[in-house]
Amino acid sequence: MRHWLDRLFILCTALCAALPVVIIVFIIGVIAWRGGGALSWEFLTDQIRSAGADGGIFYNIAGTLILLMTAFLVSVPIATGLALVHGVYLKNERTKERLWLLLSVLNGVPSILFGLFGLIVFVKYLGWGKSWMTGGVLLGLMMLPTVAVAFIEQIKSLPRHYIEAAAGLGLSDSQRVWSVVMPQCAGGLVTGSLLGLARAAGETAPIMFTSTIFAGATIPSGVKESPVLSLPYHIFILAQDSFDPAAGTNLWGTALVLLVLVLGLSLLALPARLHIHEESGND
Amino acid sequence: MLSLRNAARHWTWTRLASFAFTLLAVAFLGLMLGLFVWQSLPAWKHAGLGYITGKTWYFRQQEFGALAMIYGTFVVSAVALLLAAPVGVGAALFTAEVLPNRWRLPVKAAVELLAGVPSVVYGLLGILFLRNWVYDGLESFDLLSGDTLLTAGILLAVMILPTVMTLSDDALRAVPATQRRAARGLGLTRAETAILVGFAQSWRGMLTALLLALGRALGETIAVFLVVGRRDNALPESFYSIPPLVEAGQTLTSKLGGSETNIAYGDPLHWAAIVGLALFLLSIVAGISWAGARLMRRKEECDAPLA
Amino acid sequence: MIESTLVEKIDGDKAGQYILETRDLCVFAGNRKLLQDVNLRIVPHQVFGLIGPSGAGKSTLLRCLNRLIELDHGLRVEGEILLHGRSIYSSQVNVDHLRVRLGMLFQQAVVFPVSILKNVLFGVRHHRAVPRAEWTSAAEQALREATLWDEVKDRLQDCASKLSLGQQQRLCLARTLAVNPEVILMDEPTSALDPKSTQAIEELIGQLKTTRTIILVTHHLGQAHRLCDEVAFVSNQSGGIGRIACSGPVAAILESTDLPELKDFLCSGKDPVVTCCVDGE
Repeated sequence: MRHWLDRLFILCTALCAALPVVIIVFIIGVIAWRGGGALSWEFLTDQIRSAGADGGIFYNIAGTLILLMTAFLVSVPIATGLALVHGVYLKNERTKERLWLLLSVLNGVPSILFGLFGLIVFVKYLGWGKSWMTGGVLLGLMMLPTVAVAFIEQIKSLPRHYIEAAAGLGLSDSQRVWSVVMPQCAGGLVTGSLLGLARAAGETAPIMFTSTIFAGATIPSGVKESPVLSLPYHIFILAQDSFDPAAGTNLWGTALVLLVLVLGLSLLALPARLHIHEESGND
Repeated sequence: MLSLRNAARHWTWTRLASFAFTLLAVAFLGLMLGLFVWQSLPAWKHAGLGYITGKTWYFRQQEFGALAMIYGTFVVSAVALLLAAPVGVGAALFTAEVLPNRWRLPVKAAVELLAGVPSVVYGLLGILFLRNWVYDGLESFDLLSGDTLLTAGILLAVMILPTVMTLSDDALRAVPATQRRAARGLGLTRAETAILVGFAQSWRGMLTALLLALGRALGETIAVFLVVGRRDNALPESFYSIPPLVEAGQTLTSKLGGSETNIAYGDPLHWAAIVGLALFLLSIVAGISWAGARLMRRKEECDAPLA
Repeated sequence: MIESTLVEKIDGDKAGQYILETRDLCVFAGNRKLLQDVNLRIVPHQVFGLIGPSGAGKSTLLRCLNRLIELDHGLRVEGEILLHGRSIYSSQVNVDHLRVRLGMLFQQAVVFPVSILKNVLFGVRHHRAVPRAEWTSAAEQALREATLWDEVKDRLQDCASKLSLGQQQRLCLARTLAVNPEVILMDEPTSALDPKSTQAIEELIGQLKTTRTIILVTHHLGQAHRLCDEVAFVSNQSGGIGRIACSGPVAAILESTDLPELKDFLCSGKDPVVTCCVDGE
C-alpha cells in the first residue's frame, strides 16, 4: 500500500515537472517552425511596408534596442545605489527590512501601471508626447528590483573575511565599496541586468501608450515627440487584426526574433542564476 | 587619524549618490501612488462607493461601476492559481525531493526560460492556439467564441507556473538534507519524506510563492487583453454560476490596456475613472506583494503541521 | 551438485550464527573504488565497532548496511550483504522495511522541528497505526528505553530543538527505538557531544545490546575499548581504497600492533592532542 502510494506520488509529481518542459519546447518549436520561414537578411534589414504584411522589422529591432539601452543606463546606477544602501550603508535591520519590502512591492507593480504613470507624467505633464526616453525610463524603473536584488544577494554572499580584512586596514564604508564590494559583486549586477533586460525587452504594456507606435518612425533624433517602433508592440498589433498569410508569416518572424533576443538574454544569466539557487540548497 | 576616518565615513560621493538614488526609488513609488489617488479623486466623488460596487460601466452616460472588471480580474486569477498551484508545487516536490542533481538543472533551466517568454508571445499563442482549443474542447457549452475568462485563466496559469515552481523549489531546498536522510533512515518512503519533512517545513514558502504568483496574475495585461474578449459589464447573475467563465469578459488590466485609456484623457471624470482602476489594482497587488515578502521573512520554530 | 548442497548447508549454519554478513562488498564512486572486498560477520547482541582514520570509508560502509547509501546518487555497491542469511539487495526486499529493521543514528542529532512527542512517533506512525490515545504510552516506552523519559515527561509538547544536544541525540535514538529495529547503526553518535552526554549515550549502548545488535562507527579508541565486543579496522592506507585491515575481538585488535597502519592509528590515538583534533572534525 505505502509502496504503491509512493509510486503514485512520484508519477504524479514527475508529470507536473514534465509539463513546463513540454510547454517551453512547444513554444520554442512552434515559433521557430512558423517564424523560421520569414527570417531573411532582408527581413532583418528592411523597414516595415504595407502595414506589416511586407518588408522587414529593422526599425523595430533598433527601437527595442534603444529602449533597452536607455533602461539599462537608468536602472544600473539606481540599482547600485539601492544595493549599496541595503548591503553596506544601512546598519539598522528594521530599516533594511523596510527597504527590502519596498523593493518587493515595486517588483510586484503591474507593468500597465508603469505605462499609466508614464502617460500622466512624461507624455502629458512634461509634454514629451510619445518618446523613446519615456519608455526607457519606465522599463529601467521596472527592472530596478530585479537588478538591485541580484546585486544585494551577491553582497550577502560575499565572504565576511573580505569585508573584515578591508575594515581592518582602516577603510571606510565607501572605500570598502570601491575596493571590495564593487569588484567582487559586479557579477550580480551583470546577472541582474541581463534578467531585467530580458524581462523589459518583451514588455508591451509600459511602452504602448508612452513611446512606441506601429509604423512611421525611424531612429529618433530628439526627446520630444520622438517615438520608436518596437518588436513587442509590432506583435501586439499584428496579433489583433491582420490575418492575411503574409502578415502572419512576418508576425511569426517577429515573434521569433523577439524570443531569440529575450531567451538569449535569459540564457546568458542562467548559469549564475542556477548557481545562486543551488547554493541555497543543502545537498 | 581617527577624525579623518570619521569624516570619510560621513561624507563621500559614493554614499551620497547611493542614498540619493535610493530616495529616488522610494519617491517614485510614493509619487505613483499619490498621482493615482489625486487623479482618480473626481471618480470617487462622482460615484462614491458605487464606483467599486456598481455593475454598469457606460462612459458616455458617465456611469462608472467597476464591479464587472473586478469580478473578471479575480475569476481569471483564481482559475490561473487553481491550475498552476498543484502543478507548480508538484513539480517542485519532484525536482527538489526526487530528481537527482544531474536532471535537476535541465528542468530548472527550462522553467527559467519559460519565465522569460514575453507576455505578448503568450498572447499570440493564446490567440492562435489556445482559444481554438477552448472553443473546440467546450463544444457542448455552445460558446460564442474562444475568447473567454477561462481562456485567459489557462494562459495566465502557464505564465505564473514558473513563479510558483521556482519559489516552491527554493523553499524545499532550504530544508536541511540531513532531515531527509534521517526520515529515510526511519524507513519512511520518498513520498512520506517529501510530504512530512519537505512540504511540512516549507509550506510557508510555498504560500509566499502562491501569493506572489497571484500578484503577477492580477496585474498581467497583454496576454489577458488578447484572449479575454473585452466585453464590458459581463457580470453573472450570482457569483457561483459557472457559465460566465466560458463567456467573454473584461478585467481591470484589459480595460486599462484598451483604447479607452487614450480616449479618456480629455474628459476629467472619465480619466479619473480609468486612473481609479489603476489605483484599485495597485493597492491590491502592493498589499499582496507586501504580505508575501513579510511571510517569506518570517521563520518560526516548531510550526510544521504534521498530518 | 554435492558441493553446492554442502555450501548451502554451511551457509545455513552461518545464517543462524550471524545476524549480518557482508561478502566481497565494494563501493564505487564512478570509476573510483571507495571500499574494496569488505567481509564482515556480525554476531547478534553485541556491539560491533568500526574503527579507523577519518575518510577511510567507515560511514560509507555503515550506510551500505541499510541501503541508505542509495540516497547518494552516483555511488554503486557491488557484492552481497546478508541479513539473517538473506540478501538485502534482492529485488523482493522492500528497502523501507529494511530500514525499519536496521535503524540509524547519525553523527549530528537530527531532530525535526516539531514537538518531542511527534519526533518520537515520527517513524513508527507510518509503519503501524498508533491510535491517538496510545501516543503517549508508545512514546514513553521508547523514551524510557533511551533513558530520556524522566527529563522530558513533563514537556512532551515542547519543541524538540529546545533540548540540549545530548538530549537531542537520545531523542533521535528513542525515535529509532520506537520502530523497534533489530540492528542499530551508529555513525559516531557522540563526536558532537560533551563528555557528560557522551557518557550517557555510552551507558545506553551498553544496556541496548541485550536486546539489539549495535554497529558503532567511532574513531575514539577509548570508546571502542569500553563498548565494543568485536571491532574491524577500516584503513585506506593502500592506494586510498578503504578495506578491512583486520577484525576480531576488541582486546586482540587493539593490543596487536603488528599491522603498520593500525600501529599508526593507535599511536596517534594515544596522543591526546591528536585525538582531540580528530574528534572535533
